[in-house]
Amino acid sequence: MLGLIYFITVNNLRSYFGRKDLLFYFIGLLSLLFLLFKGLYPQIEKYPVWFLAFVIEIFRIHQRRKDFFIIRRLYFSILFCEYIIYSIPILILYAISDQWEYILILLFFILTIILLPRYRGNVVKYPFFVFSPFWTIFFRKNKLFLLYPISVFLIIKGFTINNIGLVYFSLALFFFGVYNILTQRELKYHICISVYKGEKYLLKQLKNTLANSIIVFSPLIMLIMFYDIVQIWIFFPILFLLLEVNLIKYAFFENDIHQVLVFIFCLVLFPFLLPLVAFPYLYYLSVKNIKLFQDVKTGY
Amino acid sequence: MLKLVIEKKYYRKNKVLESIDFEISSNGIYGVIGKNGAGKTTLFQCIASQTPYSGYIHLNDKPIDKDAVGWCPTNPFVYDYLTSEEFKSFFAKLYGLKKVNNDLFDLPKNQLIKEFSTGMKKKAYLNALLQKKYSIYLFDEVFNGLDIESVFTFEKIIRKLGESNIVFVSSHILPPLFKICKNIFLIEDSNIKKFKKNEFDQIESFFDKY
Repeated sequence: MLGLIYFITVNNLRSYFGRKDLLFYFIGLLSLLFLLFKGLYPQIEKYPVWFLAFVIEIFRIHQRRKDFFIIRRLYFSILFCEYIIYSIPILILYAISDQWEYILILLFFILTIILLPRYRGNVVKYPFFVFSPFWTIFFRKNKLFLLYPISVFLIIKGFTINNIGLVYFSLALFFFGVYNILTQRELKYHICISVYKGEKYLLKQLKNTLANSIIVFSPLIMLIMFYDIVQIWIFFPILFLLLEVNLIKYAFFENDIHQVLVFIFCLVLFPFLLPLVAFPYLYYLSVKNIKLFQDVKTGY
Repeated sequence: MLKLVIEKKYYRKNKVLESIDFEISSNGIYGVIGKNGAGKTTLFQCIASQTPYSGYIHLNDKPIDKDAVGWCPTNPFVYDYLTSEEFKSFFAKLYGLKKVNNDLFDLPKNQLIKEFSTGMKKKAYLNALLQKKYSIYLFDEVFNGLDIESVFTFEKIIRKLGESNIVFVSSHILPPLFKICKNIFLIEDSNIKKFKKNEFDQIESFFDKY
């Protein structure tokens, strides 16, 4: 079993380390020790909870592994040993700072990850409207639901310690998650075959964006309302900006750089209401582009 | 009646189709054959209004409406991280259909398309595409990747569609086409040659020269 653990661990770490490259191992070890004792050690006594975030990395490794069929007989022992090996740096930090309860919590999380029924094959269903399929695709592919516990924690913490910046930061996390969804381009063929032409197609997309954004943000809206109803004003500019991102995608459909630049411009000049002023023009450009994709003219 | 006139179709400086002129006066199944790169897919793209060309295509004396054409490409446009059911719902939304229709092919409901084989991906696409009714169906190398059972099922579906619609099927495998097609069009050197049912035996001899 030890041999198997050794090979699996080496195989997983091989993407980071070269083979028989002693100098690289030496520099890597020095960097790790420096990071641990100079960078992280001073922080662990102040913020021990944050170091538990390492569990997310273990969860990610666990979800991506494809070797369950090889290790099925020694499933539990191999995975437990392997994840302990990965966690050694964090465990050492907790041990030398005498925070044994966090070691127990980390071990508990690792056990939970291993013993949780794997939903491999059981596809997680999302309640999104599928006129734009990227909401489901992006949440599924990048496991964006993992942002919820982090955001909920930040919002509660923000209101508890009276730091509204933490609340805004948690919303920003989701905003950029959704921003990435909205910049995903559907195939031109799918725009082309839709029965919704030009403006109708765009309006359908905007409604879809609005509905799905509300679905994504609703748990956070409710949580914020619970603490301070006045703070929900923040969702209006967020929703407006998301609609704008949707327009920017269609207005500059083939050019990623233009999309990013226009978005940054809108974001930076948001206090001067630039997105509001630019909205009609982006709408016009979007409709024009969609019509162009849908009306493939005969002749050159 | 379908009247098709493609004066020329170029990709940059490469001539793909030229002086294509034929008409189809009755419903049925029509085969399209040709070497790789001969222009079969381009012909389908022109009929489906997916690419610009010089000429015109009329259906019942009116310019063809792209909503009247259902096209299944060789490599279907599917999204890997959706299930076949979700992909079908997505197509239903694109088509503005209220109800998602029944499946032609049985597929795992709780599995992502990325885990499907080539044939299963094609089936997922066909399930989504054939929710809607069209006047013209274009199936580009549709038998590729399908298992034997699905080939027979799909032959039946094509025959049924061919009774009341115009169906084009392209393939590199001749026997199924000989069995189901009314006429076969051979694309060669940017031109098209039509073979009637009683001339099918000439097709093999046509390729013998290579």
